[in-house]
Amino acid sequence: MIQEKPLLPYWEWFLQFDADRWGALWHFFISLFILAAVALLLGLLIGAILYGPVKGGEKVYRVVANAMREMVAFSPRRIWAIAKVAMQEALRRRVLVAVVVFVLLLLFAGWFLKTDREPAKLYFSFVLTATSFLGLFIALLLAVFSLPNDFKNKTIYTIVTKPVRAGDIILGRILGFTIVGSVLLAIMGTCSYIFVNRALSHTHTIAAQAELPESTSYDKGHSHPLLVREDGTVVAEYEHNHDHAITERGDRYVVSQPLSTMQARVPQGGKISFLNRQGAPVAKGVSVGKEWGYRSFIEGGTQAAAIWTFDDIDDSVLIDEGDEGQFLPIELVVRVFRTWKADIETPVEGIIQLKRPGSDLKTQPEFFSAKDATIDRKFFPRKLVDTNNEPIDLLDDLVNEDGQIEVVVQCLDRAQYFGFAQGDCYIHLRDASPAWNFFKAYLSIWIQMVLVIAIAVMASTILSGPIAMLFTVSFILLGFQRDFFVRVATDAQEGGGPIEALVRLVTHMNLISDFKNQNIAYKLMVFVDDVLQFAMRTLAGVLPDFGEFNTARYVAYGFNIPANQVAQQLTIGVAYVIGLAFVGYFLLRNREVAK
Amino acid sequence: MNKQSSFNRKLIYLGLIIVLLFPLYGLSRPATLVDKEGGKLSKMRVDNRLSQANLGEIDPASETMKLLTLGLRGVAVNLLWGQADEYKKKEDWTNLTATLEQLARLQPNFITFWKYQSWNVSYNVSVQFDDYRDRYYYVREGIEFLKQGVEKNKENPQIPQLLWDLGWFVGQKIGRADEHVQYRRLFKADDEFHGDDVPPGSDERDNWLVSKKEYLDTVASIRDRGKSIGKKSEKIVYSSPAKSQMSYAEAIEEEGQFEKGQAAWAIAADDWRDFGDQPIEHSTGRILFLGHEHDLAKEVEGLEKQLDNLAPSLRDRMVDEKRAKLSDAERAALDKPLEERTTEEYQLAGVAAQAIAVTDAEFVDRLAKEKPASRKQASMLADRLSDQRTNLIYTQRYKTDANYNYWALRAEFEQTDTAVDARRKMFQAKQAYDDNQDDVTAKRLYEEGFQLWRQLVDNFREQGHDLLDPDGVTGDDLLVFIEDYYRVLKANNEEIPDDFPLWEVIENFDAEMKFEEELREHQRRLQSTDDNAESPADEAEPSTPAEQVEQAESNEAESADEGDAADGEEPADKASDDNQEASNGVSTAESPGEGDEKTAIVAEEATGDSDAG
Repeated sequence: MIQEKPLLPYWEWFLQFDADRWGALWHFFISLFILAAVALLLGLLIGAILYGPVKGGEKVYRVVANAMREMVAFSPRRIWAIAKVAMQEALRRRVLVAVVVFVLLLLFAGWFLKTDREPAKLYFSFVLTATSFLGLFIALLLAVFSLPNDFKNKTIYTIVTKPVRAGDIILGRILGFTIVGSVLLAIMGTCSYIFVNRALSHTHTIAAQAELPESTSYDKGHSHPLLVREDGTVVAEYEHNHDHAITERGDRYVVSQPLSTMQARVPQGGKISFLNRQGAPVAKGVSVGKEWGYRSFIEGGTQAAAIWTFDDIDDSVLIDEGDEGQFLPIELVVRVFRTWKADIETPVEGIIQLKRPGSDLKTQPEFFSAKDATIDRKFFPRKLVDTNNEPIDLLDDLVNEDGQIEVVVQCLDRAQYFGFAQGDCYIHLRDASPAWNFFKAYLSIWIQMVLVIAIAVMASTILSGPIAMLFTVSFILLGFQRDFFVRVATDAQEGGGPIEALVRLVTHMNLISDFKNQNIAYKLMVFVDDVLQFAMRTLAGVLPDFGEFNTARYVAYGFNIPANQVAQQLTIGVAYVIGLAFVGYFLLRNREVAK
Repeated sequence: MNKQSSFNRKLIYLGLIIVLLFPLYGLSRPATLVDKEGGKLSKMRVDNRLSQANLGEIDPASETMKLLTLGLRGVAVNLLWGQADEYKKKEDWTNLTATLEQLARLQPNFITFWKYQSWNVSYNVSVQFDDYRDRYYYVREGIEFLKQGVEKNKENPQIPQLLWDLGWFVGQKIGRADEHVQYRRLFKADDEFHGDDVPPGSDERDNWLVSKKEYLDTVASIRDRGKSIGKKSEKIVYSSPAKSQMSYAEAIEEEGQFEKGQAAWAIAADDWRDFGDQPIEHSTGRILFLGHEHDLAKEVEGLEKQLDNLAPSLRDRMVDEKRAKLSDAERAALDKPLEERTTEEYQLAGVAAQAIAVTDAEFVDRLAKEKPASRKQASMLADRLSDQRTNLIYTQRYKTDANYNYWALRAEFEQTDTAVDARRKMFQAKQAYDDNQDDVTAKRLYEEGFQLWRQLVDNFREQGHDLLDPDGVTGDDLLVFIEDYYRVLKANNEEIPDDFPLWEVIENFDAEMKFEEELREHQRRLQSTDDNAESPADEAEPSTPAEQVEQAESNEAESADEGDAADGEEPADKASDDNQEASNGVSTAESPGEGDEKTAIVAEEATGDSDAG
């Protein structure tokens, strides 16, 4: 699977504190501190202007002290009561229409989705993206108009006259809308799961004739070549990312439903390193001129190699095949790059070996024909033979004291190349439940939804409905395009800051042309840009990266979403809800009505 | 506001709604099978050649997507194009194709989109894969995508561009790629592409014939339905069907189907003649017929005669007058035979020849003075002559661009039994060597085959046609056979014998100089035998290397054809008489060196601006 940014271990991600990186927790505290400091200063300033320095200061102190008291004294019962009101309101606003829209979308999805070679990938991407957009949209509509409507209709008075605190109102609303949203997501998730299952389900027939035909019937845009094994059983070969079981019933063959269309592989990744053509260690292989630098390449017919080092190798990573013994299940994805076509019908050849780290002990090379960009399985038995033909044991001889083992891959054909990235070789530990994986993907969407609700509720405490909606939408859009936003803010994006970009757009100015003219107008524009970019950088500090929440690709590629990833996302979600609830509380307190 | 007025208000609203329904009906009534025209919007759709004018043709998915963008279609399209680029960069082919499908629904009438993205898939995405089957899959995806574009833009004025691209993809991408053997096989077996109408194994599944069909549709859409080909040259578009037919014939012969190939070449010859009869618009707006050059030349000649006949001796007199004005040196240079002139004289003679030339305009002016009665007729004739002369020049240029004569000749000679036998022998020889390692049979078959080729070349030279014209590819084809033959010889440590009938091909077509050494050795051997033969008679004269080669060749021809050398020279002479173009530099027997140089230049020009070669 493509994993461009490595996933850090949870505690490292959360608590790391060194020159390279500050963990998420510290980031959170710093943001909170700066926010509080700015709010305090602003409060003091406004207080001082309105009431004079002494009285202003006293008022600010009272607000803060009050807030501290209220924060520890929030009552679950009151929050639940507000949440119930929010839910009733949502239902009154016919939120279930969203479900109808979603079902309609699924009903007609077939028109938009062509059966491709990787149908599971396509269908999963589709349902997860559709749910994500629809879910966020509904959450937005629900949360953003609720408080402003209450203000407008004065219904807020019936609440604030009761002993309810501002914090309760905020948290209650977030909770209420979250519950409604969760129910919607649950319905959508179930529908999606059924849809994908139905869409992927198919079978083939095998023509009943004296001689076994070459392939099954052509259905759903493909057919499977048939293979007769040595023991006489017939198998349908792997095609379009799945295979079928075939059972013989009398003189007919019956093809089963597709196997392994929905998978959740649990991989144990290794750390990649390279050897150059002289066999010396290098950080990366060579570039073959692809724009995307994700993979780097090793040259065939030389000593160049890609080496993965795996930690924690013991009995538990081996699969036990009973009488046949234990195996190390390695899966490998090779990207082939040919500098000349050679024999078109013959694949490029490579070898794969296991090696003991820090020694020369290697297994005899296993030859393989590269299946370009496809997951290829290699099973290494426990009992192996080394390059001197001496028998060796996988665990006893090849794993070093630190529990490590190396997998070495080389390309054999001269002037042909193999391309690898770290994620291209892993130990396939086991398969998790696809349904549970699907649930985890929905959990990511759920966290995004909660975030949107929290942002919307916070914004709607002070802004009118449409403005709050614009605010939230901008937040979401910027969140999805966070990378780009940060690049513009830090001048990493060609075209300069916002003003410069605007001028370039309007005047059709080339991106490469120099903008640093001595003209005063240019100087002014650059100065404004600097100010804006500073503001953007500040905003980027608190902007959620919605792209990070996208776990659809795991499901689409058939990999298990790591628990670590889910935990990180949940943590981020909780942090935002806390932060936004804080801000929302103070903003609501500021409105006359809720004092 | 009381109840009554509220009711009245509602009535008024209702009335207004009903009244407004009429213009709405007039505006947006869709065209149906009964009401073919439909409302105003529907008519506008027809006028603007948007295909979804008829209710039955509306693509609901496309319309829904367009509506869903809430007027932000441009933004959505931009985002999706960006996304498609990103997916391509990150090698996510599944999502790339899915994004293209969405784009296709958002901008179904944007021709460039179809052209660009189908090319992208067929040519750029397909090569990213290592397995040729995967490659083929994406080549076909691009083709299918283009077909979808054609389907959605049937009425679009730019439709020929898509149709032609379709012909090109199916023909060239499948039939000319490095993987063409595999692609053609997969294409024939592709049930999904061909559907149930074309049964497996039928010729209609050949990619070249499918391509021809698409090209014919292109031509029909321009000729019959007045659509535009855009910036593409008409001569390329109209020659495409015949070219595909020829490629088909070539391809099946390469696969060993010679009887079928012979028949296919016959059809190709017809198709090429049809192309010659097609009116083709020159960039200046003149209508040309590439196949009618001969008639046009005759007409020009006739007109020249008619003009001269108005005052039979006038032109000669005028030439004499002009000649009298020349300097002595110029006159002397002009009178000297061409081969005896020095470089200076050559230049002088050139200037002088131009000076004494009488243009039609001068002729008509003079005629008007001497015979005022013929003036009108003369100027009419002169106008017509100049017009037809221009047509002739343009026709000749276009023919060169399209390599017309070569392909006409190719289609002609490939139909002959000799050619088919020669090709069959080449095929069998290669098979014998590659499949059975039988070098004895292979060598024999090659040698028999090359004799047949020699015979074929000579036969056609007798009729005034040169198969080994450097503008064509026959010489290059033969060189490939010679390379295969050489491989067989090398296996037994043999050299190409001096009596090998096609040294001529090695001399003229070995651009990569693979046979440089063999050729030098061969020439050295011939030289020594010549010296041995000539020195007793004391006839040795200083001669240029080019002449030596020519000499050697004619000697060889003599020994091979038992003294038919005189016959061999004759057709070349004939050619210079018959064929007007011969004077433009096709090699003649007298000045072989010069002829070769000129033909080389012609060949360069032809490869420079023609797609035909």
